[in-house]
Amino acid sequence: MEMRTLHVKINGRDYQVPDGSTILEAASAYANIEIPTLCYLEGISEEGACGVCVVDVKGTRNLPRACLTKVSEGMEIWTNTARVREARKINVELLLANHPTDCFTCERTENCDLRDLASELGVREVEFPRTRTEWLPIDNTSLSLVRDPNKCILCRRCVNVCAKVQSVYAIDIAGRGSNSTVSTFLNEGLGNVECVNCGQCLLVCPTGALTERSEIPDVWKVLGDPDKIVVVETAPAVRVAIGEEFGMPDGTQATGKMAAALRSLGFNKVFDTDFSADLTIMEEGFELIGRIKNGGTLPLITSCSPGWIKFAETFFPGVLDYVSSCKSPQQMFGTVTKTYWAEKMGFDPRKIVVVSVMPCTAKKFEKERPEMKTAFHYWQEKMSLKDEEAFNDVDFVLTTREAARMIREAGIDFANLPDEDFDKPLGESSGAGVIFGATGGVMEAALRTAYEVLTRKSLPRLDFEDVRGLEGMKSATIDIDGTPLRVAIANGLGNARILIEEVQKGESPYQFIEIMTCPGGCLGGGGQPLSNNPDIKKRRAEAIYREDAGKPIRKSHENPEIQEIYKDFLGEPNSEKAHHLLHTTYHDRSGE
Amino acid sequence: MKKLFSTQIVIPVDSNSVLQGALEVKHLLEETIRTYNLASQVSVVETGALGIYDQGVVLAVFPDDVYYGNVTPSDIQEIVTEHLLKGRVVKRLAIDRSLSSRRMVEKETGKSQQKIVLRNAGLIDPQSIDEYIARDGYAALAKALAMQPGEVIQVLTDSKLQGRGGAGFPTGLKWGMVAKEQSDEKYIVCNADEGEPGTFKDRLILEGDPHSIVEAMAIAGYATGAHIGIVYVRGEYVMSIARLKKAIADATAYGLLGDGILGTGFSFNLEVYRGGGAYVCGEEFALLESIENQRGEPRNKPPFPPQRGLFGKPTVVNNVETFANVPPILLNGSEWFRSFGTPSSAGTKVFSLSGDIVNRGIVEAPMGTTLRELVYDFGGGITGGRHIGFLQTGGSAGTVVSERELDVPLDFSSMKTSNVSLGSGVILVASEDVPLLPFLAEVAHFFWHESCGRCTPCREGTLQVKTILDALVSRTADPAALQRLSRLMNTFTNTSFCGLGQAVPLAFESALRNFPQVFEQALAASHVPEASAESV
Amino acid sequence: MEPDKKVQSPEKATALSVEDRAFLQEVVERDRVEHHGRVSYMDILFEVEHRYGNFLPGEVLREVARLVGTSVAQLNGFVTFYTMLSTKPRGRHVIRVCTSGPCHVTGAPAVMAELERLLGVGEGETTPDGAFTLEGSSCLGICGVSPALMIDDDAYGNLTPKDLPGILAAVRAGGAQ
Repeated sequence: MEMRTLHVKINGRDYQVPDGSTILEAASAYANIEIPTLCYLEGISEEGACGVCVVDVKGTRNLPRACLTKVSEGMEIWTNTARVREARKINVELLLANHPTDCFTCERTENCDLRDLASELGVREVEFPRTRTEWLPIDNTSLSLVRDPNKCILCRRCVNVCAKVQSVYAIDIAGRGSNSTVSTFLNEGLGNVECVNCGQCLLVCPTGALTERSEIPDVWKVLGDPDKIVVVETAPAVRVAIGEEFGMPDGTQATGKMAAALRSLGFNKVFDTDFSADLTIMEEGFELIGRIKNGGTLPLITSCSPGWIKFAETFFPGVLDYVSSCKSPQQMFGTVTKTYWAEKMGFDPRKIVVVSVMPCTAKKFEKERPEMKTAFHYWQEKMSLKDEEAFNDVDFVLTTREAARMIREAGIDFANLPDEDFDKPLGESSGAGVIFGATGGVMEAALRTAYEVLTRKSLPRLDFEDVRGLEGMKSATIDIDGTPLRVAIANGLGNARILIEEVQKGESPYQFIEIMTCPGGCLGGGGQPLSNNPDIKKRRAEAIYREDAGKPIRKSHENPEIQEIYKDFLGEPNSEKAHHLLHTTYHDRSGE
Repeated sequence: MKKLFSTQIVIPVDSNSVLQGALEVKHLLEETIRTYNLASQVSVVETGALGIYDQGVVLAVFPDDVYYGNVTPSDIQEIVTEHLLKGRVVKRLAIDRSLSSRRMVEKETGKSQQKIVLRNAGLIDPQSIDEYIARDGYAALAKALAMQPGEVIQVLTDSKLQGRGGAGFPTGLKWGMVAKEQSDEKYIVCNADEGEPGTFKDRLILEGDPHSIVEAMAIAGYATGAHIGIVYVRGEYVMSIARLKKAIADATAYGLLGDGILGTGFSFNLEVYRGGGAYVCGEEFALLESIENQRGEPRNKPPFPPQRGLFGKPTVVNNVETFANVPPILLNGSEWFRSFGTPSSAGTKVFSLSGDIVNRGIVEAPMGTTLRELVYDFGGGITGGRHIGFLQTGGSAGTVVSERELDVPLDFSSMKTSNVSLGSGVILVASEDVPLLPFLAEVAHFFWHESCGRCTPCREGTLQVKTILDALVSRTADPAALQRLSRLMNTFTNTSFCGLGQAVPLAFESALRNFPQVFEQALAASHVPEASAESV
Repeated sequence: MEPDKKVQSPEKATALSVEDRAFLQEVVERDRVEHHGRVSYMDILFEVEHRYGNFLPGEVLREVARLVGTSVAQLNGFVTFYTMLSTKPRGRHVIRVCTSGPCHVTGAPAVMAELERLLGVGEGETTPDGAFTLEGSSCLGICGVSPALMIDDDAYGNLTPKDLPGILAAVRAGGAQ
């Protein structure tokens, strides 16, 4: 179908723009004018709330919103009249009048959209007095996220992301007028409702109203404790994003510099979650093979994304039997470190502190799940430990942003560090472990192993292109030596919901489903650096697949350290011991 | 069909008169009529409010056109024996503030009175479909069904009927827009979320003549190709809701709603939805959102409801009063309707008179009636013989004017020509004893309380305006307060998301224009307290 | 930093009885019939609010959300938007004093002040005996009898402060029946 073209004038110049464009789009794409916005998020949050993107349109009494108003034939648009500048300024002033003024100490001091906008518009004075008399209490109930309603400008991006992208609907506007807030049910707090801790709301928040629950002070504390053996593990998606925090180009593979920086911070061992990603593939791959061979429950659904797990427990308790019993790589890592590695090194497991660096806020919740104390139970009898001495498998979780902040605090010139390697043995990984960070990666990694185990043949080509890409939902049929394996991948819980509803109804045509909570998978996780680049996920994904392609070993079962841990410690994949240490259980949260 | 009696005694039974003993009076009256064997000649009819609110329990005797006020059970015997049996008016109880006396006023002022909207209110039992039918009820629907839908719309267009909710959009044009949309479903929505402070006309229409709305909505459905109608009534209007529901049930039982209306192929069903206490739901998109079980927040325009309205489908949204005009227009023709009113505004307007005015209540007068006529002729002047302090026309979202504007004829063009808004027809009179600034502070409080909070200018701006007005009242305003107020007014007009915010400046700008000295004096007398000076 | 303890509101702890569930289901289903397969949250919540003493307890809202198929946060957003609905406990009778223009001009401030004095509570508060909640309201559409107020579904007009003790007494007496 041919797109109709409209003739419009923008600031006196003539342009031809496609019918259906908004003024915002037309001005940007054709006139090179970036109309400022604060609440707008294309396709997700189109509320017209902030009143900042207003423009003058000849013949209209008021100033239409550029984000929502479509161009029409002959429209004359002025983006820079005195009326427009004053209107934008006053709306920002009105927001600032009731906004806290703790910008120096705000978490978003360096990248606050509101602050940037005020500066851009030349707001040098707020003429309006503060009109609210009381500060609202901070929502400190969640293990992953902290919400400061005082910094909220009611742009509604978080509400829309939670509802439209994630289909979680944990928050909505409550109250009316100037008393309205973004709130959970009866203001019970994010930690007490169906929030899955994904942090997508935080990624779109223009101010410091949403932040992660910071564990930086805890980590500094243990790093300064000579009695502790502090090890760090880093998730695959972190290495392709952390460079952004230090001004490196988007999509930089900063693996070596990250390892070096973490070592400089004082971690005793710098390990890699990719190692336990390989371990996950062994366990999950064999679980899949077992279910296929023995007529078990299919489809098998992946379990490494903790937001998805809470989502399933809350909204789809009926499908929990389909979900792989494998712990996530983070949790397998913690367990293995405090059992296998402790045993191997002769360390007291109580002295080991496991810190993980994750692209994820939900991991902070996951590590606190009561069932994630496997290492303690492993040692309890052997060391006659009392119940109150129980310790978590993973002690602290830092987001990519928090790790970067610590590196900055330490004055480390990240971008100019020489590359270093991870420590052995828990730093060895295959390309399969690396691609966990991208949507479709777990699937591809599992297929590489499952194919070879099932067929006892070597894969002719390692790249499963059909399962790659950032689309929200993908499906493919993989030929396993004549047997078709139907697989599907969803990233973003709104997409996951569609696949899972099929499973719940018993209508799913698939044998294996990969679910990632965040759009794009972990590389788009709620713990990742904030970015204004609309292509950022693509850049990070490209870096991940480059990292994989450059690895000498690209299949989990060929990782020598993985082979060794099975030989020396676990026995076989899915052995009783492996089950005990590396698998977990879920529970129905629908009644909570 | 119900027999029509030679004499009718109409007794308004509404939420207020019940508290003053209307039901006891009514029961005793019926009993006494039976005692005197008058039951076959005299009927006692419950009606909605007559628009007379300050005379206790009121009885109206038709066709004699006599009104009694402050009637108590002990007066009944006398009314029955004197008036009904002997035909002598009980002077002691007769009241001068009746509709008939208003008609006298109209004769004297040379105005021809024709009740269009209120043609039945107070005259028929609103709970009787037969009485409605007896006064040409549903004849307009029958007539419409014999016409082509396009012809019905043409009559409306030719009549120049404009929306009575305040915006004045041409009704025929709106219906035509919906008619030409292709859609599997269309909706007719009646906006009965009357919330504009000082407006109580829609309640009177719904309580007094609910069938007129039912009939008009069915006509709209036929004209536009819609099969579902929804009346959104504000939640406090308990009696309106009950009467409307009864009217819908009766009309359905008579085959005037439902499938195959009057033997034609046309089907139309009506439902009632309730509001929950939110002024902004009078905004058409907010109202539709509310019907859709959402927070009552407006949507961006365009597209407008005729293109994408309720559940995304083409939708007619009209005010109660607008609908009530439709059946008479169809029956009497567009030329007849245009014979009332002014060149810019055809027909009549139902005005709600309130405040310090002798005859508070509802009057229907031709478009172009002046403020002076409304206040002094219909309204009987200011209570206690006082002078006018100020007037607010059109509602809180309307202008604050002085005595100087009394001779402005009110119609849809009066805002443009004379800076006096018609709005929903509110005439709120404040005597010289009412200070202006606390009143404006209340208006500011109202908008602050009713702002939905979606957009920055309205959410934050109404809070700032309220703060400024409160400071002026308490004489604690800082010198820049009025400058801030003026900046705020511009931002409301320019950037508010919907009509609510865009209308906020009307009251304040007009007050500043008409009573500048009040603001100047308050500012001059202000001392900024130290603590708040710091925070500024 | 330790997270705050779980908030357990008292009404959340009380689980719904079988009768409660049946009642709520019946209300929702009846409304579905009235609205031809759709539902009106407002209709449902007015009826529910009436049964549970002029407010909507958390557990009741949860069950309503489940029955109508929405999230509790969205239902919370809906309920807190409309002033006739409340998630906080209110008195047996809700007094809504109109404060808008016409009532303001004819004496609403004096009516409100007298009610505050008589009841010993401020605007938005409930009397200690749980009989009355005093609310200020935007225009109630009975401006012909201003100043006016509503107590529950009944309107009172042409008020002066001296009318108020009698009205309160009558409502109290009626409420005791």
